[in-house]
Amino acid sequence: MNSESRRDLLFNVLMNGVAPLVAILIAFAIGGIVIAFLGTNPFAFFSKMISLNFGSMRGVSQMIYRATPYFFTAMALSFAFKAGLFNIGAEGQMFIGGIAIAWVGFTFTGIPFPILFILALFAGFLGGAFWGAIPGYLLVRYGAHEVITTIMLNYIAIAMVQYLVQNHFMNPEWGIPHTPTVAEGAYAPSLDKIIPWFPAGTRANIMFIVVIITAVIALLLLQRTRLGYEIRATGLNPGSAEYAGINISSRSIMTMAISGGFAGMATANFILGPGSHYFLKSEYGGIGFSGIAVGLLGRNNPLGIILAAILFGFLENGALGVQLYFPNVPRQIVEIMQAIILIILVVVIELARRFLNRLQKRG
Amino acid sequence: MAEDNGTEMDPLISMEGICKRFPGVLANDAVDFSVKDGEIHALVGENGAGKTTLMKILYGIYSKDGGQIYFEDEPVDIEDPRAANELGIGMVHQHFMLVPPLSVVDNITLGREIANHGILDREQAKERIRTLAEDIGFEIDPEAKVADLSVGVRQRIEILKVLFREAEVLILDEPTAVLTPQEVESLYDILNNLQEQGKTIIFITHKLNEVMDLADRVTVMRDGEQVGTKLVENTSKDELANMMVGREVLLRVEKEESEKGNELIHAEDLSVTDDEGVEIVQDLSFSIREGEVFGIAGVQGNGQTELIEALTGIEEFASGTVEIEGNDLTDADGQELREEGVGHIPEDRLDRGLITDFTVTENFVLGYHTFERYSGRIFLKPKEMDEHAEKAVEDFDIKTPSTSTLVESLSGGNQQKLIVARELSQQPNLLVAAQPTRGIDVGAIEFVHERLMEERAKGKGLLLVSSELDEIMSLSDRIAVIYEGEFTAVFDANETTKEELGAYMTGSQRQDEDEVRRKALGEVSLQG
Amino acid sequence: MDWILEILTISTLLATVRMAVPIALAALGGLFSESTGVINIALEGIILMGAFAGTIITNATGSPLLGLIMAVVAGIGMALIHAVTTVTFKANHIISGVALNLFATGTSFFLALVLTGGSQIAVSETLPNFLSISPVIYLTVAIFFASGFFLYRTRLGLRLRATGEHMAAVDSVGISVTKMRYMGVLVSGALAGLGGGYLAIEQANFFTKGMSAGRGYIGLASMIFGNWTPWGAAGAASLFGFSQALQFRISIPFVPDEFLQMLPYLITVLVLVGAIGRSRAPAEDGNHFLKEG
Repeated sequence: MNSESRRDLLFNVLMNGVAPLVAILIAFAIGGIVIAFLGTNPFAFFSKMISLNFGSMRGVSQMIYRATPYFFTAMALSFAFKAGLFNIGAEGQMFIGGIAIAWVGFTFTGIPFPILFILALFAGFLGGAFWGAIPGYLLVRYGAHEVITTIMLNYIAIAMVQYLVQNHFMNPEWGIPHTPTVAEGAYAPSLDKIIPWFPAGTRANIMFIVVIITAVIALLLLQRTRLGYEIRATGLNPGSAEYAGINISSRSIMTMAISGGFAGMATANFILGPGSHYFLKSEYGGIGFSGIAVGLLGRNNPLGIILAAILFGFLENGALGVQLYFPNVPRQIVEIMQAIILIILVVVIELARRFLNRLQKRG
Repeated sequence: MAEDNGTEMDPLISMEGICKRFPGVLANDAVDFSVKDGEIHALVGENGAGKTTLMKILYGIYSKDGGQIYFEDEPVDIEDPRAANELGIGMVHQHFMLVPPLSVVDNITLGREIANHGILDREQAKERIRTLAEDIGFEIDPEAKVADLSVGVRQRIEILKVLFREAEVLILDEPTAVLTPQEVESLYDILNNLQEQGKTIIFITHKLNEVMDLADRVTVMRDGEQVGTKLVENTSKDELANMMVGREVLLRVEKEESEKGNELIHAEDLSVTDDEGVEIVQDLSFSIREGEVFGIAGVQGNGQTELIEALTGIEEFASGTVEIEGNDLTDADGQELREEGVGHIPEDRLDRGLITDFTVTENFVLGYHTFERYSGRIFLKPKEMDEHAEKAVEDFDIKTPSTSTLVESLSGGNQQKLIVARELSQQPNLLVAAQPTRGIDVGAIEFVHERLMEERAKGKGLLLVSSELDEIMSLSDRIAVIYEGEFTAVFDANETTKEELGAYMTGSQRQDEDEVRRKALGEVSLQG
Repeated sequence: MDWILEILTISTLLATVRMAVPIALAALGGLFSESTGVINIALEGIILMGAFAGTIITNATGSPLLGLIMAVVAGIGMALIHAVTTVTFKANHIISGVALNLFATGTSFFLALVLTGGSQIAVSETLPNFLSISPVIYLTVAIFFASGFFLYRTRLGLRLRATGEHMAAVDSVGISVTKMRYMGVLVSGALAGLGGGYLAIEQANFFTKGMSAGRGYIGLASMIFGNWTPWGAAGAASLFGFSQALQFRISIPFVPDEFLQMLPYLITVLVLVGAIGRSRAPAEDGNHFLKEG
């Protein structure tokens, strides 16, 4: 291995492996300090978390269940990033996709599994893609900055979805606003039916398989296809991409649409998976925004994102379960840790970059 | 030093043993450099020789890794531009350090503002500026916005900036790079005026004509080392060129008579408008035949960029037609044009030609990535891409560790060679080349020129846009001058001079409109 | 048609001004930051932290003045993190801002739970009004006048603005780009913090989870629409203030509540769409200053 590829390997390991790990460790340390302040032993707290998540197959499958939606919202950010765009709209795209999933599920009740399931999932993708394409188009046509438009569309989506559910979809007799339940043909089979290791009655479902398939497709798309080449070119140097005859406007909109589509599938885990089988807005809040942290932690790479999503699933599942044992600590500690991971990560990555530059200077 | 190079008097500034290292390159290797009070001293060398680095160290923008600087025989530490200013040293940069949306007075006073308790006193500043300008022979409107001013005027503002800080020593970095021959004359006048006022002037250049015309003494640098200092009256351009490169240098390319074939491209009444509908290119017509090089000379900003971008499919023509080998390709996009055999060497390789985070292979197929040999309908063909890239790297002698190296690691010369390799490998019939040798070293320049002449000998057509008159004159068969979006003259390259071209480039002369059009379209011979 | 008459009243005007204040302060803050070339998306989180700090301190000390001061301090603190991350560590401006917003959302909610056991905290005291208008509103107007003068008529203001347009030029005359950027970002934090403090203490009289509700982003949109000038930003902020005033004060027949709810955000999008070509960002917006040798 010559010095050039050794340097590249070091760069990769440092930026994509060490930096996120360091950020996670620091976040856990800070979280531990806060927990100690609240009168609880942090080591006991965290080891309980670990045993809850990894101590049994039930724990693992719960962790996977919680992790699944984060993958999709993270992909929304990271995929758009490849084209140089900031998609902060996963929250709104997720909601629009979710309402589409529910609608297909409770409207076309006669269609059997797997067709209805696939249709519903596709509807989710389309709904999110539509909501993502809007800011893409506004950017390309009017120069409207996509950070602000995607965030504004989040708020608009939430209001719209609330209106639809409350005024059109729900039965007025219900206490909490939610959609009708989806038909059986749309149910996502739980993982114990496919992989015998999973315990019966687990909520982890086929959407996790969809996660893995999506990651593989996304990687192939970006690295091996013409479209992927053009998207990456547009993101890295729009001037040279234009020179090369690449239509950067259409690529930008397409990328925003695809990334919105990813976010649109996030709630399938809850709506189609085992559980209530209806769309309940209050359940999904924050998954879109947390997806940003997951995407950055996963270094904008689909495989890394799977790992980062599992970490967030670990935190969330752990926080829920650990409440029983340590009632002093609000489960929102997890949100703080997620945010701390993000800030520290941003700094650590830059430190790693400087460190590598200094190494390069000497060499 | 046995030769008389004028160092008998004590120098005003003396730099001894200066060392400066950047990642991967030793920019200054124990360089000695001295300047006498009141002289005009030229610092020459080709691109990358280390001249700008040395001066940036003198001006405090860079910090030296070794050596010592003496000012009036006292050792000094110049840590930042403020320290340099305090010694009376000022620098006029090659890329202007001006803030376009701000006014002339704000730009000149920035960092040294005239203010009462923090509140700006612009009136006083404006007075001082007007006086300074008059002293050296020109007028200026202090309230004008810099963004509205021409390049020549902006340079004067940079000079005023330096004088406003009471500089006695002025360093100018490639001052004539963006000026027309007439503007260069004006600059010479200003510099001579300054010398009469007792100022000392150091100017960096790679143009030996300027050295001979203007300087008292000249120091040559090559590959980070100081190669020698001479009195200008004791030396010649050839000697200096030799010192700059270390070997015999062909200052002009050998160009044979070539057979001109069929018409390759026929363009009529082309116009390009900007966002507000203003015509940047007006009613341009020209024709290029196989085996012919058509050069366009002009000061940057007269429509060349827009013309090229429209011809290569990046922008659209507002009106007019372009026919290539009989096909109407006026509205063709970049894809189609490449398929029809039109190659494009862009004027800005970093913003418009390469993606530095991509590998050599990925850059080698940029623009051609949809071609069958590099990709199928959906998937790329990485193995074929690599094979072709490797062959090109060999054929064009591109120095890179491998084809999977990121292009940002390549030197400017090798990056440009990669672009040339990419375009020529596709065997285009018509090659559009804009500033093909900008910012690269002499060896690479020779290489590119040779390859372009080879294409011409093979019967290809070449549209060449360049602001280097030497390049245009030595490579072209016909030369058109572009001014404010129109062709104002067409010449046979062998029958014109730089001065003549310069006069037309500044718009002070024009040929008859009809004559120009017919000469550009090749309908009329250029003799007489 | 009564609803039209309901809109055109003094009380609507007052409501507009009240609603506009946090947005205008955020917009001005964004302007200070971006005039040195640093994009500050974190304004949203800064408003939230300002609101939180203001609430807690006012309740703890009984002094709304102290609460407002601490809101400003909290804003400066958040901005300091952003400045260190983007200016010193050269991280991407937008990512740093988004990270800080997530941090603010989580932390303020968490601390509210821990300190008071609930997610909504009432504010015990407010500042006395002059002419039924909060003193902070007068302060805001004064700040705007002062900012205009500062940016265009003083030495420091000139240097700040130059930094955002051409960092290399500023550096070449011996001005510290780092210092200018820190100054711009910290001022933006102070202003947005004040806006947040006002929001909680004076306008709403309580703190609740996520109460900034997009005002930071709307403030940025105002800045863009106002073409990066103080008075343009103020004007745009008033427009948004008006749409928010509508939402809370009236019901228009046939128009569902949710539509009024989304109105400010919808208008923001339309504003950004309309701003193209008429609006120009500072040339160095988002760029890092890389010092060579």
